[in-house]
Amino acid sequence: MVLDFLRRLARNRLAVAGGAVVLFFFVLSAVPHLFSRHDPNRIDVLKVLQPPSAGHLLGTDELGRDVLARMAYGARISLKVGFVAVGIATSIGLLVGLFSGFYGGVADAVLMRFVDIMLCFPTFFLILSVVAFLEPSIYNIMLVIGATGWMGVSRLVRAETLSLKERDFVAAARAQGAGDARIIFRHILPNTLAPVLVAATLGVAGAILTESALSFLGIGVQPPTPSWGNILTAGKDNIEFAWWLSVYPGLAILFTVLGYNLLGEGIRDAVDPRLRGR
Amino acid sequence: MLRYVVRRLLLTVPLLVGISLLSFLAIHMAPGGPISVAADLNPKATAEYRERMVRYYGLDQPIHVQYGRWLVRMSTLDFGESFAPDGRQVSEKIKERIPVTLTINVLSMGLIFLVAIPLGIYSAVRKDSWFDRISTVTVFTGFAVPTFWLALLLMILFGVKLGWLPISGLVSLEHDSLPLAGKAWDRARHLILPVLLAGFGGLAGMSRYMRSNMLEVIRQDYIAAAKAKGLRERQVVFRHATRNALLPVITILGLSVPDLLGGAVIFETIFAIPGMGQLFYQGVMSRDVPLIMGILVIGAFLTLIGNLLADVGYAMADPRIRAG
Repeated sequence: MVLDFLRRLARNRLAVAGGAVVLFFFVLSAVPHLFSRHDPNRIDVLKVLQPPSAGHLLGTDELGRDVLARMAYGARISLKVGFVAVGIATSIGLLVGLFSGFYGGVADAVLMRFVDIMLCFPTFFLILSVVAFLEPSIYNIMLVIGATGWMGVSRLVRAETLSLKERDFVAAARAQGAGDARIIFRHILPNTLAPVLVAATLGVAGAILTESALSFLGIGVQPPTPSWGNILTAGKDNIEFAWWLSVYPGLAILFTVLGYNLLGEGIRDAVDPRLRGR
Repeated sequence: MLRYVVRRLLLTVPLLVGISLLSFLAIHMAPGGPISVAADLNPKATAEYRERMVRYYGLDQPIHVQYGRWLVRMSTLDFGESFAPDGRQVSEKIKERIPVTLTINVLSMGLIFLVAIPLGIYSAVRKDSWFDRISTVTVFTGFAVPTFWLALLLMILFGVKLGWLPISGLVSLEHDSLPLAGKAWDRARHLILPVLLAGFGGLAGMSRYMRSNMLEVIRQDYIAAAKAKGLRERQVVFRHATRNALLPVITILGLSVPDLLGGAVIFETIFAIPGMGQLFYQGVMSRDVPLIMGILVIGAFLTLIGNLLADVGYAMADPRIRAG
């Protein structure tokens, strides 16, 4: 079944392209020193704001640091934040959705009301306010993005759970004496994973966008730790002299997000039973 | 129809209560409590000062009493005084910023309407053509582009390199000395980039949605019937298909309110536009708790209204919803 899915996915050229991009950035974040021999944090006051050249492929920033090196290490940050935040959001969403869908009744009503209320707040406003109260650090960012992004997953999981719990295999498991927890985690959960995987992949893209926006505004990852967003802050401040500080980090964000979006859409098409007839 | 609206409005009440409860808890759960921020930033704060603040804000009362008072004050939109040095009423500060943000958002919604819809329709009608493929790729890229980056790029291109458009503020320095027509043009020039950026994200989503809607409508039987009747394609497209595909679009516009508000923070800060988003950002940076809370609640309120309009619009379009 998994092989089937992979084969279907491989036939989708856009998804494969997206997957390639995702892979590239993984490699970039795993071995950044292979892409640039410069130290991303080494300040060189003599080489401030230099345009791209042979020695510095993407130029230098306002403190003379190599932009390519900073971007390669920044990839690590962006991917870390993306994955951890989505991990948190998916976990919360799964728990809430499974519980709500399985038990129904008052608990379900209360939880879904809570989801509705949370969805009333503009997400970005919410994230900003919480970060205002906490120290802007990479861990708080991961936590906050995760804590404000679980609502969609929970609705998805709840819908799947509602339909799955009526199925025969659940009745069969009950007849064999399985308790609630076992049914939920061993039988229902694995069948909800397909849409959750799609949501998670698209979620990583969104989380990376949010993290870069926060870092750009100065309340995300703090310098000197490099992040694509905070390199763009320098880009804004030096907009008239250093176009390379604005162009390249943005391109990196663009391609990463595009890659995850295409991959996510591809996964969605590959698992969609309606399209299986083709 | 009226019954549906009333029912929907009633459903809004528990949401409003929930919003107020959540915001109230958020302020009080902030590490150190609501006044510690103001007190910490004030070097003259002694223990006695804190005591006075506590009594002034009624923080020594039991929590449900505090919540009751917060609820009453909130219903009159009284969010207290800002912690900023000018100490003005939060509601006043917000009120003077709303028109700017609202203008930009309404204009950008208009832009989305004018551009995305024809785009979506044409893509659907000419499915899999060059136009469709190119616009699909463009739309996907549009989803992936960080708006603040696009803002920077456009600023560099049109502001710095070409010098066609101004890159900050609402008006130029010489605005007051310009004639009336000049003033109008000056304002318009300053709004071009912000409106473009505000609408950009929505453009991508909307054209995609319009396209898939049209595709579904085109497959319907009544379209085949219209073609069999001998109507020309343009008539079929405009009179029948478009009208039916268009209705759900209204709901999407209503649902995009929270995203527009969130985006406002970014591009108002970049373009130095004195709107609600910039105010929020300043409030966050200076830990101005009453201001943050005020804007958060107003933002949630506007989102609620947007959702309500979207639901009512959908009910108007699809009679099946009204019965259910």
